[in-house]
Amino acid sequence: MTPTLWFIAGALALVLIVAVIVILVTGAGSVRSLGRAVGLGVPEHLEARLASRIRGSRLAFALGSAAGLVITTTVLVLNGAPSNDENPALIWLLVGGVVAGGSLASAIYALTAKPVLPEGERVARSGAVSLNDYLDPVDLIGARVAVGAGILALGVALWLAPAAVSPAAILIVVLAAVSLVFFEIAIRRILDRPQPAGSTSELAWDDALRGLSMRNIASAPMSFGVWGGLAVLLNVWIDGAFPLASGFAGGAALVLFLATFAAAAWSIATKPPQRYLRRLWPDVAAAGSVAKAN
Amino acid sequence: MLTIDARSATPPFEQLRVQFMDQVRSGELAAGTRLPTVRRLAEDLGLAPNTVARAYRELESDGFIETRGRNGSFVSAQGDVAEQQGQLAARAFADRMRALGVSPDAALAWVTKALAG
Repeated sequence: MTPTLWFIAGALALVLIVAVIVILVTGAGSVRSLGRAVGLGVPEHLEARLASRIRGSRLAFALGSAAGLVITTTVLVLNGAPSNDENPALIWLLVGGVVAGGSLASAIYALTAKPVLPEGERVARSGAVSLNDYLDPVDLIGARVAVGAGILALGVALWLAPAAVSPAAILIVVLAAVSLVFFEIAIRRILDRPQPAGSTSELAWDDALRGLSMRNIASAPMSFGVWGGLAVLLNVWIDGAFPLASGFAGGAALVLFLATFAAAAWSIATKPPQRYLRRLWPDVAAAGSVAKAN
Repeated sequence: MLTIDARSATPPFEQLRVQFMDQVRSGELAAGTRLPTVRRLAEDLGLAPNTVARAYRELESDGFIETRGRNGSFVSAQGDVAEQQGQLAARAFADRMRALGVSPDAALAWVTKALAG
């Protein structure tokens, strides 16, 4: 591995260690800050349960990311990643391992966490829900488009300039396809999970948390798809042995980069963490206030 | 929203049936709205699947909901033909506005304006 790769791996490890410590020491404060992000208040009777669930979810994400970092670094070292080749695909592979680890752990936590069965009165939604209620099109369709763009870029690059494409770039695109299949299966499984709730507040919080889990899972195919596409295109562009392909790759990489930037800006502007609120709790969203405890 | 009180003297299937009927009549559940599957609603409310299935069967025989094969159960349009068509058109309009990200207030204002013109 190059010094740059070691530096990035070290920095990521440091960030993850700090994240785990912060998750372990913060309690009710983290619930309230998340409540502001998702547009919900924190009823007193739910605070301890929510704090435990949010801590578990965040810890799973952080530890999964750490496991992804360790595994990717180990694979790169054992496979003799060159110590003098600054191939950007290797950096994206390393960061991708972290994202994939977090995404996988988020899915496992969301699918295996046992719901607390409320005693006494039970509430449920009278209408069916869909993936669109939880995921913004930027996340739901964006993940598919990103992976499609990566596969398309790889196909064209292998056709026009096969010698220029590095194995690491091909691996990132393959991982993008695999993570997209996993994403499509995992979000449907999460959607199908029961939502036992004793109050509307409890149900609204469950909606908020499952929406966040789905977005965490979407991060892997989106990242791998964009990075895979960029890695392939940059390989061909930098190689320069095929002038026509090189020009095309440079232009396509710029378009992909700008599209990703525009999608990210749109995503921030539309507040995806509150997507569920606008779709499933329109009264609360319209009031612009937090859901009252019930 | 549906609420089931296990300590109530009213059987759970009856609580479910009455709440669905009230929501369809009041318009809270619009015509064309898809209902949760029997299994999912039973798990959410802590009821036996047979209990939910019985409530759905009775709602269907009373004309409140209809089952469209594997697509699931949907709220039926109520009233005479004009009312039924109006409800379905309203549902389609609401779905379209939602897909476009238009706020309920803006959508209502447009409809009011269109009806006035």
